[in-house]
Amino acid sequence: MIRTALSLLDPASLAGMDDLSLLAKLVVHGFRQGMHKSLRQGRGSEFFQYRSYDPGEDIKNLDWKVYAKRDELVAKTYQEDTNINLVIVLDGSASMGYQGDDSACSKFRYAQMLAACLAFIGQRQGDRVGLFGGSEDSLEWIRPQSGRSALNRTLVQIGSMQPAGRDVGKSAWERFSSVLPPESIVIVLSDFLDGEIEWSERLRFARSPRNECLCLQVLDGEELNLPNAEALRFVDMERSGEISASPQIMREKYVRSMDEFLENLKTTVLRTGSEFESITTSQDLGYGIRSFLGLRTGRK
Amino acid sequence: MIEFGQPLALFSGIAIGMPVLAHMAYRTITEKRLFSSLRFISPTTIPRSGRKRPSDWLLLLLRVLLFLMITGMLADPHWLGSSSVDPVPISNDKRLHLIDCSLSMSGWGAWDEAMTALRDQFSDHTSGHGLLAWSDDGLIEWPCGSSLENLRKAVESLSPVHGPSKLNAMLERAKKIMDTEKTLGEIRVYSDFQSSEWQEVQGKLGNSNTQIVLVPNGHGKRPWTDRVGNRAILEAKVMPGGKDRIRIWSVLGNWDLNATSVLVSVLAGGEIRQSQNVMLPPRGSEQVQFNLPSSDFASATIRLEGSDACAWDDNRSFWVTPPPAKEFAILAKQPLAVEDKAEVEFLEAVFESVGDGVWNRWELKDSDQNVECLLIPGFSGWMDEGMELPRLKDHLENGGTALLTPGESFVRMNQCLKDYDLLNFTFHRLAQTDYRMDPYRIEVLPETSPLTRVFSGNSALDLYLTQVRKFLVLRDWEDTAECPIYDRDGRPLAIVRKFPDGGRLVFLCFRLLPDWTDLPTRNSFLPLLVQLCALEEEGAGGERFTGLVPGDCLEDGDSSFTARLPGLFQWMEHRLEVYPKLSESMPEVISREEALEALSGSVGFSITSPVPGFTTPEKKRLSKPLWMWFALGCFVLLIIEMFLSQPRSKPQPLN
Repeated sequence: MIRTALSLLDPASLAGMDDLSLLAKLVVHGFRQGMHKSLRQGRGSEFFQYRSYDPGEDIKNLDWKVYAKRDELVAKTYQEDTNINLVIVLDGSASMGYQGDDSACSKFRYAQMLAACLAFIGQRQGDRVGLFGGSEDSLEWIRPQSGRSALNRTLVQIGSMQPAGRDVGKSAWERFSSVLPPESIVIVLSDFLDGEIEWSERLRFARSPRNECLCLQVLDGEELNLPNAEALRFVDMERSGEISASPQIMREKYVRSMDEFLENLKTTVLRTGSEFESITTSQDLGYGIRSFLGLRTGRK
Repeated sequence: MIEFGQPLALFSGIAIGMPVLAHMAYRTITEKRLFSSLRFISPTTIPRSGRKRPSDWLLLLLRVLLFLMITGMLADPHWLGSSSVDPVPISNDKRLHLIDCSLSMSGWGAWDEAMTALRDQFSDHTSGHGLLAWSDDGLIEWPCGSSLENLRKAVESLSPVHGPSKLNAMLERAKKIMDTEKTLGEIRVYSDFQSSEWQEVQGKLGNSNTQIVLVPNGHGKRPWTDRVGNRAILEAKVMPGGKDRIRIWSVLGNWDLNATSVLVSVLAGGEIRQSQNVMLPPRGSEQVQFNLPSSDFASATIRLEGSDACAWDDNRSFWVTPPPAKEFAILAKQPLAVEDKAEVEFLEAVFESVGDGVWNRWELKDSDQNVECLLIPGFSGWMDEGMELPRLKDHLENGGTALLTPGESFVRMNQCLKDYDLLNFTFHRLAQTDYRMDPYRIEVLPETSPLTRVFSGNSALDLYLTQVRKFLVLRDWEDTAECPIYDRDGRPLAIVRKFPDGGRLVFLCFRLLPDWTDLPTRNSFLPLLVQLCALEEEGAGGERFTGLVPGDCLEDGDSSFTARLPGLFQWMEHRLEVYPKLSESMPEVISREEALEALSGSVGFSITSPVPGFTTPEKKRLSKPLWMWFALGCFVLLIIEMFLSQPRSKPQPLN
């Protein structure tokens, strides 16, 4: 079966793929075919591709080995290195493990796939890629580094994370702000359900003009509209507590409250100078990637 | 056709099941769902499920069916159907009647009911009837086919007997008749099915060709349930009640469900001597006491006034005059020396202290003829000179008891005892001790000693002899004698020889010094002497009266007495009290199933209610328990119910 670009962005198609590196490559390649945009080429340390040698061009770009073998003048092009640090913040709290009845994957899996794609794109753009996230019980931090090996390390770490425990604590966020290198783009992948006030404090680093932040809120469709059932005993995934309620009865009120919360959250995040985008697990990964590329384009 | 062994369980099951059913029918079903945040979720009322959708009406119907099945299972269902297999085409024109003739049948009108039912049976001019019953002399059997006239006469001659029940013997005989009489169609059992009697029954009347019909008698309006309305004298005793008076103590029982006031009287000499009103608690007992002069009459009867369901346990007779005193005599060398006189006086005092002094007492007799115990202080050659030794030997060989203390000449004493084959021993020496600083402490009794049973753990172990006179230290003695007691230095203190007819010769190895000061005479020496001489043992005249129940047999020599009826009897020298077996007046009866099990040895045997007329094998009913099928049905329905009552989680379109 030939996969189309659209199907390669569909989380339902990608959810079963274990290799995040391959997944990111497929998604990004498919996505970029649709976008018809090339990566930045220029002087750098990372070989990118060959092209025909243009007479008059600096001969140091010639690949003499190819000339010796094929008697053809070709020039090597290199991926241009940037000074940008791409740090992906992946929320690994238990609530991210939620998966609705109709969803193809959990919120965390969706965020994992999106994070892999963004890291891959960042590496292809010449950014240094790093990772921060996890949960209160298991905190991960990879300092941004350039190169393919750094990307692989990041992807392996993303793939090994599991949603469990509570959100990363306040002190961890403070440490993160202190060690975050300047000229950083921070992509936060979370459900942002633990309160808008906390995020105002956590995203303090985005107030700096040298940093940029994109908050991608990943939600399940049932979190917006509640599951369909006569009566349910809701049990909190992160905290102890349960509430018996009828979704049919309380749906209207719930949706209203949730909309209000999302509005407040967005306002709060925007006040910190960050971008905010809310996506659901039923949407394809292109929404998140587009948001990221929009941020990159704006930065350039 | 389904029959329920416990039909009342149907109502109780429904009563219990309906609320549960209602609860289940309207119970709320909530599915547990992990959710990312409860921040915007507030508790709401849970809509009740299962009322309007057709599938849930089906669930409700299923639950109703489930509880009906459970209720049916608890009600012990049986399938009563016609026997599909009629093994032998026989003509069962014979019917055997078994009649319980135990004493309990005389209560609650059971006997009259049984007789009426039997008379009805024998009045239909059909032949083939047989009869099995019992009397004090054994089983009474009228074989099947006896003439109705003879059977009617036999019925009129029957009565409840006081003797032991022969129910098991009667059932064994019925089993043999059943095995031999191939045409026996029915066995009818007439009984009150009293539990104390029937719980020991092991009948094996299981036979597919013979129908067993149980005819409960005396059960009133509620057959196979415990009877009420009886009071009884459970126990009655007479004991000394002061000088020239007796105390009559009795325990009265009430088997009624309500407290009952009853008038209790004591009759003696043909008139009521005393009466008391006693309130008996429901299903309980109460004590009552009377105090009467002892010299006016020989026997008395305690009686419950009024009538109740069982009359024969309302009175009890007993002897009230003291039995004759037991006699002892003192044989001593005359004239008495000073030390002999002191010893004689002490022994006399000891013996007169034995017993209670009224009902069990000892008296000193002047003559040594026909006494039960001979006391011979200072036994020595004077016995031989006075020709007393042959009489002593006769006394011992005829079952008498003799207590000896050593005399002046130990060698002569030893020779006399040996010559008449009374006792044979050797001795080390004679200790001439009047007063000892070191008392003669008695050794702790060995476990094998017959005295251990009496003195073990009691203060008698402290017995010691601070002062004795002329202590004879024995060396050895013949095997026919035994030494039950030693001092702490291992020296024998007494030698006892038992004779074949119960005679007992007790030889104390010391002479008593009555002026001792700290010997605990009353507490230890007296019981020690009583035990050594076996004065309280059975056969030594210790028992007062002999109590028997009908059927008991008492032997004395070549004669015997068999108790048949309750009452007081003087037989030879024995005063006998015969009282009925109290267990016969118990109101508890066994259930029909227990009766069936007792008769057949297994549950599920064919049983029917008493019906007039003969039953043919074609109409015979076979009872097959169905509870297993009901249980299986319950299980299946429960599984389906659990499956159908799963919470529904199918998505519904959002409004």
